[in-house]
Amino acid sequence: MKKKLKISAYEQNNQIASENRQFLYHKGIFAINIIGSPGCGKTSILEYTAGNFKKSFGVIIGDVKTALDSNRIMKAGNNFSYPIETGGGCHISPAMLKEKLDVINTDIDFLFIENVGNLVCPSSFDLGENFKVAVLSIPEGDEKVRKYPSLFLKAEAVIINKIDLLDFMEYDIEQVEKDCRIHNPKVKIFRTSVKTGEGFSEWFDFLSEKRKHF
Amino acid sequence: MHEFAIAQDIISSLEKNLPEDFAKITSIDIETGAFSGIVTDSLVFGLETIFTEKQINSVEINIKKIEAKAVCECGNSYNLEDIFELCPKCGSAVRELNSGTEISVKSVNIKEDNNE
Repeated sequence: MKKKLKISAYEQNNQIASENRQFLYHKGIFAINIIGSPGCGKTSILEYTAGNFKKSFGVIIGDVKTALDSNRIMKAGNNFSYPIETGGGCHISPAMLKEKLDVINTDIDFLFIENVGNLVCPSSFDLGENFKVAVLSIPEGDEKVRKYPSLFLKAEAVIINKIDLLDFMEYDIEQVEKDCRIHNPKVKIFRTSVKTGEGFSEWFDFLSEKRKHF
Repeated sequence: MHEFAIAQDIISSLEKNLPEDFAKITSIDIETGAFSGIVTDSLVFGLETIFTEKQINSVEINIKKIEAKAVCECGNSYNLEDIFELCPKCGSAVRELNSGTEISVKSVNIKEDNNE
């Protein structure tokens, strides 16, 4: 007997993501899911943010192992920093995030969720964030957008980091931005450097503006 | 290798939606969008492993890939298999993707009691 169904493969995940989203909304917390390769500068961006973003925020950082990155954020001056050790998992799941959200009792305006360094798996899961941002960096090479399309279909913003290295490497930034816009014509693109601070005031303004409308 | 997480999600959704019939599933039809970003073989492997672990053996898993649908800025609706395919009418890449990233279970076959 054939039974017709209409079940999304993400039904269970989406249910938990939606609970996370409601929880965050009621606390007035605007959440950003940060996705990029290992070494693209996700944590450095958050360190820079800890020193320069004039808003209260928390950080949750996923890695396969260790709390090294969340410790870096604490050292940079933000004590609201928690690790998620996936123990082998290639992405943060909404259930992993939910466990951490249960400890949130501080008044924060923003929550940065740094996903496990990976351009593939994290892009498939809604965690309950307000938007996804993809982080690229100049030394990675300029073909990442073409190679890993699923992330760039879903990212509302793209940060091209380590822009201070642009003059030293062969990197066709115009092509990268064009590729990003093929995946998402409405994408917002930021060119940043934590060494020079370039691009951060635009990125911070964008975040503040987005939070006003959520 | 996030396909295993997706397979787990599919199985728990089936258990929830078909509490009576879950153990009698003989086949399952899944559709994946062209841009769903999953490896079909890995998803099949994940589903087979979990079904077997639950002692539901020999479930036939059918996965059909479907094209993504987009509406171009010129108003033309078209299907695409590759993200770099442009609007066949005007050549623009500015479009709204309406589908292509989804993965969904469309139907299952349930063993009838009188056949047991």
